Amino acid sequence: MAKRMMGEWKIERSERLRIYEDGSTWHFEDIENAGTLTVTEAVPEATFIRSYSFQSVNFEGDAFSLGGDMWIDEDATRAIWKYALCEGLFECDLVWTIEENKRNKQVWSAYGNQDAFFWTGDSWNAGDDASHLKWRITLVRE
Amino acid sequence: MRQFWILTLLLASLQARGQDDFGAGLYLNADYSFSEFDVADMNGFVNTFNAFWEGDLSKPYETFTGTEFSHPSFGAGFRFFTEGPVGFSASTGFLWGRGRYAHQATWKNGVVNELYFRMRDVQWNMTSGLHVGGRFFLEFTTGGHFRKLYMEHATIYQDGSRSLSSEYKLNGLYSSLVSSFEWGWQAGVRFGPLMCFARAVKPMANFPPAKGLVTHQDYDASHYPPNDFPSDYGLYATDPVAFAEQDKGVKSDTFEGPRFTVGIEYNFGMRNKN
Repeated sequence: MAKRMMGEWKIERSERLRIYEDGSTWHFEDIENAGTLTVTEAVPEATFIRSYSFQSVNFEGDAFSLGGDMWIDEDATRAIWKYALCEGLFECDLVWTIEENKRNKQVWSAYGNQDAFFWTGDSWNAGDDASHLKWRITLVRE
Repeated sequence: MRQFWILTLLLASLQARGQDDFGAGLYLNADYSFSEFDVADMNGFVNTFNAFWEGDLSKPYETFTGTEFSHPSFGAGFRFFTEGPVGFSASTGFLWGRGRYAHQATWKNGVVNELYFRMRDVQWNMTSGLHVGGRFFLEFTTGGHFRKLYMEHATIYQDGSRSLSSEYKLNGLYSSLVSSFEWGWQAGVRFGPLMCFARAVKPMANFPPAKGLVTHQDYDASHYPPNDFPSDYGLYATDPVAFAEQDKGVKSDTFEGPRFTVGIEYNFGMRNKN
């Protein structure tokens, strides 16, 4: 399953949205052709560790990039970008939920609670938050 | 793979040579196991989680009954038996099976917490016993049962999005290897090459002795510890040091237990009998 992620991908679409209590969503960012993602072998003997390089743009057209180690579980349910958000020991990983995992198309989503994107790992009560954040990227094989 | 086919040819020829005195040959089988696991740890989580968030949940978790992980299996093996009105019978084989189960609680704002279990089982068993007239079989059975257990704690949002990301403390993927050695009895009735059987087994207590925890697979850095799935949610949420000291994580050996199995076996070594 994890092998399907290897190689060069085009970020066909990058969406950031807010999910409200009534199930409606508000797309506050929606970019087509948002950049590239490259997933390569990290070390040959490591089954579930990969390297990634992410080149993208935000809605203002500013380029940004991320890169480093990526951890994948056996069934490729998640992809974890190590220390993508900060350099600290905890709560610095960007954890993607793999929604679709095909050889030529992948859909990944990362989530946040009401106030912050991604790194609020000590949040406890999902019933407290009036809305939630989602970042979804759609990848197609280059 | 080559060894498998060589072994297959050897076993087939064994059946052909010895059919006057005994029979032997490969079998294929399928069964359904009604299993029961020890619910103390998981219901400990359910009860403490429901109590902790009592005012915030519109639908709390239901308690586990222990029978949630019953599932079918398929396998192959080898059976040997002597001819005669009363004879000896023995077999060994492998079985593969997988099961899935979801358990949910709903917050008042409509967000759902989901515990989603995925398991892959491999069983190896040996039987030995007697048959009467080649029709009725009663055998003692023993073997190993190895279960790779994954438990996803997901948050499902109001639009249907399902998150395994790290925005909430419990979210993520937990896993454990559950290994047990089992013993019990198997009874069968044979109709030509087909045998219908029922088997009851239970795991040997404290064997193997080293038991693990159902542990978070976020590779240590996504969350602050503790990383083990809690059997006492209140302690986990309010005093993680005491949680670790009191060893309140869900133990892997709670996911083993007695099993009652019914199934069929198609035995190529018995094809010409009566």
